[in-house]
Amino acid sequence: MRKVLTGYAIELIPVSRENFQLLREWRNQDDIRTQMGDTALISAEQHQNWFDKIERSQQQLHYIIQYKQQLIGSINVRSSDGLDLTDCKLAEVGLYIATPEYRNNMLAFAPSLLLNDYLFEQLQIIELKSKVRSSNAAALKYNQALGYQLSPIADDNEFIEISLTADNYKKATQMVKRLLSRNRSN
Amino acid sequence: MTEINTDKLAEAFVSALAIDAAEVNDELAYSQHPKWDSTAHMVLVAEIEAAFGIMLDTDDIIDMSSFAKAKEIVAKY
Repeated sequence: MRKVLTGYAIELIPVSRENFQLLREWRNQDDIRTQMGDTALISAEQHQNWFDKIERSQQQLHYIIQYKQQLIGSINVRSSDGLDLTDCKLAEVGLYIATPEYRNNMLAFAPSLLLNDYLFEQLQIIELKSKVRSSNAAALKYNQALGYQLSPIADDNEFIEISLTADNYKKATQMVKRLLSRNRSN
Repeated sequence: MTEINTDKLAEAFVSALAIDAAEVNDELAYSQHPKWDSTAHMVLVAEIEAAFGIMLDTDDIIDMSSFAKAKEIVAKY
């Protein structure tokens, strides 16, 4: 399962001992940290413990996003039904773009397209579901463009639940997939 | 780099983003203008390609983050 995924002009590189420290730097940036479910700063020890736990986990995959040899962010998927990713039907995807110039850009769709294709087509996952801060309008709009449906959460005004089926994903992303799958100029 | 018809490019922006011609200048940038979002960007690519008879590469679609950048990119084709 832990292999480089390539497509839509980017590569998704599995997080490893060689690159995992970068994730802590990004995760602790104020602009990223404040959009997380847990907004606390991550210590070096916590980060090492986290990496030791996920390094061989069969229930989650973490990638670093590379575009034109530049590392620009991270995307991950976790099983939501307690099964290994190869067997699970429900999973949760998380993403952040750490490089500001690519945050409000078509490129921000590439990592989601590449990972979602893998999850729906290779791993046969039925549905992706996660929570987004209600105040994060950009993230909500981004996820809607991928085909996610939004549902309010009872007694929780801080977060909105978002869910995506393979059918909705396919319908919503035909055009953006075509634009990000053309020839490369440089 | 070849000269491009800036008026034609501006018309493509006006049509795709549904904005006034007066709003089209070099500072006009993706996601800084409320109407230039990902959907509008896809329409914009189609408008520019139809207007200039070109097909943009993926890297240029990604790089086209402002009107100024669009002028540079279209001039390459």
